Amino acid sequence: MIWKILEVLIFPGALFILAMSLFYEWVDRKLYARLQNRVGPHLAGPFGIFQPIADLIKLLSKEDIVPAAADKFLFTFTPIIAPTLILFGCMFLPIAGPSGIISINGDLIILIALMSLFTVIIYLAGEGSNNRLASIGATRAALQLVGYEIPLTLALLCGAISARSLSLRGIVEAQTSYGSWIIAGPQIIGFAIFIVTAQAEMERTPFDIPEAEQEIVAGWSVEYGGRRLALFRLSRDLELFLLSGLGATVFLGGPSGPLIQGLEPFLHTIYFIAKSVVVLVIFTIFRAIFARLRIDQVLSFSWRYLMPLAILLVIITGVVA
Amino acid sequence: MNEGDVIAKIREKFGDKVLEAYTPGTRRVSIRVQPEIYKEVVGYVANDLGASFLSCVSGIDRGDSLEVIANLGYSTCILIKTLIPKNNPEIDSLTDILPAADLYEREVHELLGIIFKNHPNPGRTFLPEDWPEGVYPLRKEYVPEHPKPLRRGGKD
Amino acid sequence: MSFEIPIGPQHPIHVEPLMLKLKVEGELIVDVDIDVSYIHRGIEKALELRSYPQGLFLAERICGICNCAHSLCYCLNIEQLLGKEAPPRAKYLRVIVEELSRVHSHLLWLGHYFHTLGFETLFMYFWRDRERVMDMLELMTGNRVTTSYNVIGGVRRDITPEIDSKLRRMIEHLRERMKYYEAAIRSEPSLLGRLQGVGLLKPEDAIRLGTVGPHLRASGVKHDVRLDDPYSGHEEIPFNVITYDTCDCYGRVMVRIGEVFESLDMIAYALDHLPSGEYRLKMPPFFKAPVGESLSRVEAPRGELIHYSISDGGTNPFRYRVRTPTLANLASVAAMLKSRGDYEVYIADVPAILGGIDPCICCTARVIITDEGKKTRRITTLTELERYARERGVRM
Repeated sequence: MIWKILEVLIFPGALFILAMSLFYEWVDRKLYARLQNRVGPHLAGPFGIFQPIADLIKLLSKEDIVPAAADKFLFTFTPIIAPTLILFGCMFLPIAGPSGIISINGDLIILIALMSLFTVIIYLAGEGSNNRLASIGATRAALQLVGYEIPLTLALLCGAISARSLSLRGIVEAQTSYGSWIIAGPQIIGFAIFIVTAQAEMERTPFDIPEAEQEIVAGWSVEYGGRRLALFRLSRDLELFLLSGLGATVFLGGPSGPLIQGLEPFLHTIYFIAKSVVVLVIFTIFRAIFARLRIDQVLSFSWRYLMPLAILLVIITGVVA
Repeated sequence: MNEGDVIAKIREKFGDKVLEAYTPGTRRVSIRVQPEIYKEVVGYVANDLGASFLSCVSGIDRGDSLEVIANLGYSTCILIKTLIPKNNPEIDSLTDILPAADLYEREVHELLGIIFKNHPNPGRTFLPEDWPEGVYPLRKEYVPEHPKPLRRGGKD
Repeated sequence: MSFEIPIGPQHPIHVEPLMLKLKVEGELIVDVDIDVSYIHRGIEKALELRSYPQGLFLAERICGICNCAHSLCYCLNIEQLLGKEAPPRAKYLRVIVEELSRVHSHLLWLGHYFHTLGFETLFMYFWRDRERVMDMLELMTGNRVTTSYNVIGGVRRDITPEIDSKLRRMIEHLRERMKYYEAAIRSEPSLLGRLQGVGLLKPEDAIRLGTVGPHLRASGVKHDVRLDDPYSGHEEIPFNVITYDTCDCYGRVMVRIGEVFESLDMIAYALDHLPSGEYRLKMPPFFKAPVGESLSRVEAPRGELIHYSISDGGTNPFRYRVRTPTLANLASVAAMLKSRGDYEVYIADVPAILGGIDPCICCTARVIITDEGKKTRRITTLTELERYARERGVRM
């Protein structure tokens, strides 16, 4: 029992996931800066590796302001629920073994549902702050969900169909037993769809429409400051960890790899992190080479190209598998 | 069209209502007209002489009268000037023939108190909100106060 | 359902405060109200109260980025008033610095423009290359931003062979970079989607609304003061006027990129054909100008700049009028921001359209206090706001 609690709280549970998500933010920021010919974070710790945590602490120490016009309940409730939701999702990731801390049959579906729920939380957060810019941002977030959610689900389901399992454990074990990753073969297209839609899920360029700084200031998060903003930022980092981990698990074999007796959890973790950092690097490069799209462009792109492609892929996968 | 042609054509069209016309320099034409035909001359220059680009409307305080200058043309700068009395500073707005005049006329209105008849939105745009009514900073009688140096611990 | 959203007075895309009140239906803009009430610094009045040599320093500070154009326009104006002309070498040196500052301004604009479109990477790249131009400006004039290079009757310093070779190296470097950027922008689908067909302004509308500069040339009208009214040896220096007939934001970007190439060529030509001789006339520290008037025009990076002065024979100008390019271009913004018929403007296009004119508004705007509890709105002045802030501060 005590081991289970430690597992949930420390490794590979909450503490480890939080630390890793801050590390992922650093990787993202540093690489993004280098791609732009900038230095990036470089003051806090070696190569600025502690910059995300320094930012987090700084935000937590700021004054807490609740606008008079805001909905008090939503304004308090959404920043707490957002990181909780994603942290819960991260518990499904198979980090230190072929199965996550929580592993049930069909946990892939739960993860997809959690990510959609997160967008709903963002919508509520935007509308709850009762600001015109925030409400435009919230509407954009909800509209964008209509565009990317179905291709994202289909892309992940293609992986599940190839592995003939709806649980992450099953997907990982299938890849171990086949001896090859799901990405080999037609699923490379599924991986591409996943990268694009995950970028939209995380509201990163070119899909950072709901929080477009230059148009609607910061969109749905415009009224949030201090520790509330810190919690939202944290949930963004966790989402980065979750999605790069999910991509690595479904398409790149997750924690599987050559093992040495006695060192399995350690090696599993190393493999998992190495693979998800590869996905993260793809995310970052993707972010650096595009300009922000317009909401109508996103929707038409998604329904015209991504959706037929995803459906076609499901049919192909069904026939092949 | 060179400077001489412009002057000749305007003189031909408006006769002795053109008070003065000369070329102050290369590609510059200066025409002084009576205020009644000011808008008409601008319309003629813009539509018939092809200088439909209004680059500027300026106002000048000439002592007991105010001068309005419309500046037209891409290559040749045609300045159409007119004097209006200071006690009744009213002139036709150019906005219906040249929409570009909107902001320039607003500026002249605020800074010199010239009233442009039929201007669509003569609200205050350029001066601060707490600027007193009826004080026109570009008139000669307005002398700006000298800014006082800031002192530590001073009142206000 | 339509509602109003404010863009400004303080907004990430404005460097200076400007208020746009947009009436939107969903993402579509149906109406717009531009509030350009700026702090009137009273420079026109202040120029009346200063002698001609003193006025130069003030004129230079009308705008930070186009300071070179303003000081050049002022010097030309006063020289015209005095009936003098700068020596040929000074004219060429003026062209070099003017074009350098045009390159710097256009690179700054391009970077900032892509930033407003959410393309941070290109923003960083453009600004890195702009730094080379700033270094050259510093080398040539002694200052990075406010160059203080033009003086009445010439320029302040001469060019040295060392600066000459460095300038040439910078031109080569920048040409290569700009070719790369031009190709990148032409082939980048996400950018083209944001630029093409956005902010349409037909040539006849552009002329009717008094548009100037690259904004006008992007609508296919071939007007450039350097061509129509050569003012500083532009008769001798060959250059092309870049026009685009796409009439949209894409054209505005490409016109500016083309102009950077032209400016670099002009600098190279001016360096090759630099006349020898004096680089400034001897001018007394105080002088009186003869009675008269003069109007000078300069093609500033943002468009046609007009200075108009009247002298009554004294040491100060009787009246000094400045018309800046942004004031001329603002009227077209309101026209471009309204959706009508097939032409749809989204909130996401506002930065692209407003940025397209390269706005430079040294301005402050009123503050609207919206009290949601009492459902009242009122416009307050800066003094009132300050008092309000103090009262709040005491209570808290």
